[in-house]
Amino acid sequence: MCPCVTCFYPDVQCAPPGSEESCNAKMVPCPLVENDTILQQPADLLTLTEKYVQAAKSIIKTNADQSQPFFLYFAFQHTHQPQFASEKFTNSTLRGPFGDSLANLDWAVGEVMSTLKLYGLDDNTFVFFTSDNGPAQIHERRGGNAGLLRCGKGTTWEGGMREPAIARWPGKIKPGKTTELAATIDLFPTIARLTGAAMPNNVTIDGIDMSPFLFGNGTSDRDYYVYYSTEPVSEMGPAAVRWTHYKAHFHSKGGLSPDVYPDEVCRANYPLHYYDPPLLYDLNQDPGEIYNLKLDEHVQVMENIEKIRDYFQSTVVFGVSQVDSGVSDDAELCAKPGCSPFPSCCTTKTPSSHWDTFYRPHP
Amino acid sequence: MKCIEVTIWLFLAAVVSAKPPNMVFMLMDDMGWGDLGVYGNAAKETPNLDKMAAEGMLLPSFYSANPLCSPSRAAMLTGRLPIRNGFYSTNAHARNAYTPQNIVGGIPDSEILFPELLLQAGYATKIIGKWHLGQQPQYHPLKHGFHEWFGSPNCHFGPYNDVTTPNIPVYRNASMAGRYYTDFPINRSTGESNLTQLYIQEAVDFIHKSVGAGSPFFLYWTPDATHDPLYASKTFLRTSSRGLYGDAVRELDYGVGVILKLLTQLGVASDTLVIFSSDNGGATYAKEMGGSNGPFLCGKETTFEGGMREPTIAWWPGTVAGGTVSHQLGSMMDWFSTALDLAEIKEPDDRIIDGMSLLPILVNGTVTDRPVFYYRGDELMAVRYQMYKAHYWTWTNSIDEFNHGTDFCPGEEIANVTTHDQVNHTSQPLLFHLGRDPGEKYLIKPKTAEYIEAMKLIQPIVDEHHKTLVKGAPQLNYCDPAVMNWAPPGCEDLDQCLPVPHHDQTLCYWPH
Repeated sequence: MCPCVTCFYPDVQCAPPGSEESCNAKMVPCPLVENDTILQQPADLLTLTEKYVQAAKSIIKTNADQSQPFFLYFAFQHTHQPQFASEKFTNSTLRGPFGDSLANLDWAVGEVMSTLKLYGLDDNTFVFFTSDNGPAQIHERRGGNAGLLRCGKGTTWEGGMREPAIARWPGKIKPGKTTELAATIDLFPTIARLTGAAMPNNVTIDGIDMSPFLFGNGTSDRDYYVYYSTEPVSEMGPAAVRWTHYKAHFHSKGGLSPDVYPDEVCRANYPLHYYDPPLLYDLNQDPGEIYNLKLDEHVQVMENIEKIRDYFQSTVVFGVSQVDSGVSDDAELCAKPGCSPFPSCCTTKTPSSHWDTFYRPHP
Repeated sequence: MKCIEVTIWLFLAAVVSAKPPNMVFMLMDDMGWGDLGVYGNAAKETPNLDKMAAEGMLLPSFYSANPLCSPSRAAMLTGRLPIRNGFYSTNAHARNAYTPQNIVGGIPDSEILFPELLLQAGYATKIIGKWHLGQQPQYHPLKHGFHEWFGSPNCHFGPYNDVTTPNIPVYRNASMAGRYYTDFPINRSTGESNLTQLYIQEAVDFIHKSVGAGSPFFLYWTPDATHDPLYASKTFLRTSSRGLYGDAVRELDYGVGVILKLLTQLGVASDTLVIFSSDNGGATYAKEMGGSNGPFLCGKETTFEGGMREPTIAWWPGTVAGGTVSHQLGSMMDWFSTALDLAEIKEPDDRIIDGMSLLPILVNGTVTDRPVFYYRGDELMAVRYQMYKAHYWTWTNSIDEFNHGTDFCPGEEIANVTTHDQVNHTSQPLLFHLGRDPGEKYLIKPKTAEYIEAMKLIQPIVDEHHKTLVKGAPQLNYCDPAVMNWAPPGCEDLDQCLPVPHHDQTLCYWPH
């Protein structure tokens, strides 16, 4: 995502010369898009979150006015590198750039929630908060924190794939906590159930409806989870399988952790390792995956795990890799198609007048 | 600004003018920063502590004065670092020493414990649980500021055979009430024991009695179920997803709930400051039987964050605003000064007190810059000031111990940081930023402007500390089998006196 010029108020560069942050000048300036239109290129990061919030508010208001049910997918750029924050949140936290970015995100969540209340939609809206993967430890002090979990982004250890998740729906979801096993892929069938939409019958859906424990007093219908690596190979099968609170690792490789990271299996330079016999952990007693269990004391557990692994290995049909289909300049969004010198010529006039007229803040 | 300060002090004066408030200090044993739901534990099994935090103040940057129990507890009660109050050893460099059964020393009479001063101010005082400031009677709580005691001078290690080692006694006040395992059972195979329930009941009875008598009270509630060997009562066994350790945490959480509810029911919640914390970091060497230190490096016995950062909550409805968080760098030694402040007792001026009153923070959120000193035995290992922590010495444990399975930093190995030799970094301390890097993983390079600026702040603090330090006489150098609990006071009444062996005083061996 580069070159994004200014990341912190008033003029802190995203990738100042000599800093540890890198800027790939072969990429177009990061665009801000609305439907088919590039509104800003490069996007003004100092006001981006505010614009997102204004857009969210506008969508909520418009639909509230028309009593139209709506789905809002608010997918933040926070807290990915390069981190950024508006004036109000620059230097606002103890954690530095990452903390400021997170605080800016947190503010935006609050704005959305209060807008729902404002339009009386609070009791009729299912809100779900989560993250796409574990923290990018490669950025060291500017990376996130997986707490007591092992490793981070890019690995099949818990730190790579266990996510902070909050579900909210007053009257439908009991306040408190649940430790039921669930995954982001479970949102799909859960939403299908909520909306009465038919599940597609021509593809395999891996998600499992979360309704029993989210909206009722039931337990999760999911008792397993399958972890594939970031570069899966059909013959290798899943890297790890969780069954109830046990998790077995069959192979792993390092992710996005730096050479100085204290746990070598997380480091980017840690090559692919096969575990035969597999490594087994009890995630309830040992969420950090530190203490390998004796397999001869967990024969039934391993049988169940092997069954799940074999099932996936024998039935999963890999889709055509989209990542392997290569890269092309044509795929990059450019405000002035065909301009030169590419890619730095891909810019809009700033500020965008369209933005100012369309997304004027609501009083 | 001046005006605001005056207002605050007037308010504080109003708070303490009528009758000084009650104090309940709950100190856990080996519980880690990451064990509470409110501090991010994934099991989320501490509803009462989470509620306590929601109704009170969370203090995420709060430290014990030492990574081991005895020195930590002695420092809390004296308001002074162990290097000053004598709770350390000089037998070998930078060793953690404590008070096992055969320790000769204990808390010196020359030290002033804050409950001694609270007595003078008319407080009823009681300790429930583990004392750990000395085994011999002259060191016991009733000689050092407490009216009442139910608990033990030691951890609940055992069972012993009463021949080579006596079982550890449990006291009621100045006399023993029995011994662990024989009279106060702990089933080592199932982990069942009702000790936490006894400690909860003792607290309930003491609070009832003190409220009835109308005197202010200080309760030091310090159960030890989360210290190895772990235990929980039948009702709580196998109720936690975390295993026996979690069972123990759940029962303690329940106890916190009982005590807070009672204070509310008796109408004294608004007159009572309740503090929850732990004596040192989670015992990472105990593996699944130890606590969680959350994102922090290593654990108990070390001067990394996992060894000394404690899960701290303050609760005082009507005075401490609910749901607040203070990043004040706090120390357990601050409870000394806070207690005296609340009771309007002048701090002793004939000695250095390392604590500071937390009242301005609790009442008004006013944060004050101050350093945190991380000692291991006789050595100042590290210093934190603001967000920076500089390690002058690093050590986990010896490679020999490590190779025999004792690992203070499981799953964590940072070159030049988690060292198995004692490494002196004094000429160029290792520096971390604990805001951006709470896990102490990413060293700040010495040539950077950030390093130079931070060390400009920290080095003068360290120099001044060394220059002015008057070390107390070390109390934890000598061990003797004759001082073990063979014949504690009151053993005659129970017919439990064991023959005392001959004196054989030697230097204690402290391996790490």
